[in-house]
Amino acid sequence: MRARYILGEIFTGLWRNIAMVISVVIVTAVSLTFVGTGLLMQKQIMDMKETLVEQSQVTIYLCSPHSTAASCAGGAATDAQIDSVRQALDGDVLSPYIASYDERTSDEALTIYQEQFAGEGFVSNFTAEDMPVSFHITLKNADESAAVVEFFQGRDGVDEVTDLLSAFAPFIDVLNQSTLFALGLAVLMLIAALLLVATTIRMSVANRRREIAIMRLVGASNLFIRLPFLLEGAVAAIIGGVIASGMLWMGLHYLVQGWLAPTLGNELITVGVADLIWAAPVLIAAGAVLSIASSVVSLNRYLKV
Amino acid sequence: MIRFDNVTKTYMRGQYPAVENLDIEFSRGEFVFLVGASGSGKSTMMRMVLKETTPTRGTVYVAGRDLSRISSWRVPALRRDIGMVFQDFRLLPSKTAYQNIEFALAVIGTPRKVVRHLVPEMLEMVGLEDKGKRLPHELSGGEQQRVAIARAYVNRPSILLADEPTGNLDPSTAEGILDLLAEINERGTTVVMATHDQSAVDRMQRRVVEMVGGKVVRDEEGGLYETVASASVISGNLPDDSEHRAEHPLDDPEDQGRPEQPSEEHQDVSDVLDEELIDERDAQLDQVDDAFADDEDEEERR
Repeated sequence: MRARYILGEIFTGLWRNIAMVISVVIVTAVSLTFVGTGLLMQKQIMDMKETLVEQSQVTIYLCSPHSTAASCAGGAATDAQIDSVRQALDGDVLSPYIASYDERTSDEALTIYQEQFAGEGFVSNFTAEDMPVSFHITLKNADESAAVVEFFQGRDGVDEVTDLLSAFAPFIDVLNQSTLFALGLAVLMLIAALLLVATTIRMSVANRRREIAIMRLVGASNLFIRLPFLLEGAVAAIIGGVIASGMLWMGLHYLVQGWLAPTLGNELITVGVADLIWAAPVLIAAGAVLSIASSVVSLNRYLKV
Repeated sequence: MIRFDNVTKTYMRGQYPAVENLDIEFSRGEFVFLVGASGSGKSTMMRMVLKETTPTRGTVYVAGRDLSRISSWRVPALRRDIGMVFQDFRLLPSKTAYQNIEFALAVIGTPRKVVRHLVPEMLEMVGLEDKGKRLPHELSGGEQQRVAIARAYVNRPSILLADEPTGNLDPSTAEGILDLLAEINERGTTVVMATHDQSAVDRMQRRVVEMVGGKVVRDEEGGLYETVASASVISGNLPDDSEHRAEHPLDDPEDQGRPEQPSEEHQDVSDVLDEELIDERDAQLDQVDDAFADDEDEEERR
């Protein structure tokens, strides 16, 4: 009896205020889409930083016979030069920064090179002597790469020092800024959504004044009187959350997986449709919780039991 | 069953109380007529029994319980034991007679099996067993009031409050409604009926309580509508000054010299709580809403 009655009330309520309900759904959907976008961008940033930690973040390439840098004027790096880099890496000056490092001889470099370009005709033209010796360093703190880079940059026998973080930095920066922007818009839209829910509830209460008066009179409990209104708002918000998830799916499927990942590389772009498995429930739950909160506040104002 | 213990209710700061120093008791199984002009405090008494409004001073007891000590979440339980009938019936226009009665049971969670048993029984009691499927606008005024009484009584309350239940009905229909209320009273329910219906009071000859300006001026067992008692206003023995009184707030200079207003009253009304002001505002809003609701009804009919 109760469940059927409450369900019936929710549907009549939604139907009577259909225009308001549609606007609640749209506003909630748009705001939750922004929230979802922000979440996914943050997830992308976290994934990227994790990759950086896993991989060596700073790489020192010593001179090969083909190097053109000023510090490589003497040709390929000598054993003494290689040794001095090794000693510097083990030394006390750099130990606060370096977690571990890994030396790659020219033979190993050739093997990797041959694997990477297997099948290409020019691979057989190179021998181990053409390949540089390199050191792959994992830092204790990925943000403090500058000290290490500066230490080795321009040393005799050092061709190039690359810092993965500084290569990723602009990208992470863009993502961080976009997250801020998306969350800012989301907050604005969520405020609009909350106010709309409050107004809708108020209209719903006004529409059903007579029923409410009689329910109070015959002694229906407060919760029983309020439940249809609470659930009405929640249903609208949940529909909004589902639509938001749909929009995110489209964005992830067509924009991220269809264009961004092939353009920037699958290793870099880690977010995808699979992330909706956790993002969609979060969005739908957030929508429901916010709308119920807003309903409770407006019911306390407009429905004195 | 119902006891007012020195109860005063002031809706708005600076205005005369709706009821003042009310001390009266209605016992179990009694049938009481409340008579008196509009604004004499009859409806306020009923609202206080339902805990729709709280007294400014004093205590109301219903079935031995002090209403001021009942927490808000237990008010519904109190109201389940009180039936209420209005002059304007207050049926839900989109529901049939059967559904209107069913509604009162459904919203307090009565199992469907019980509902299916109780509603036809109620329809039979009020003599509408063949009209359960009619909508309120397809019923006459008297029939609508019968549905309203069935709805109020379906939970077998121990108290039935009726606020001018025959006010919108012709005399012979009113008689039928009165008989129905008498039947309910015979089944053991305390009935308190506010009325202006002289023939009803005269015919029943039950306890009559007359109110003037928020005070009880007559309490007569087996009384008639009119009386020889000197304080009775409705019998024309005393001019009615209550309407004039209500229109003027206390700080009106004209009122200062009125001999029948003791000076202590100026203090009494000043300690009205803000909550009461909100009550008053709500009451006004309700009136506005009712006006809109009437418009709505007309639109629906068209």
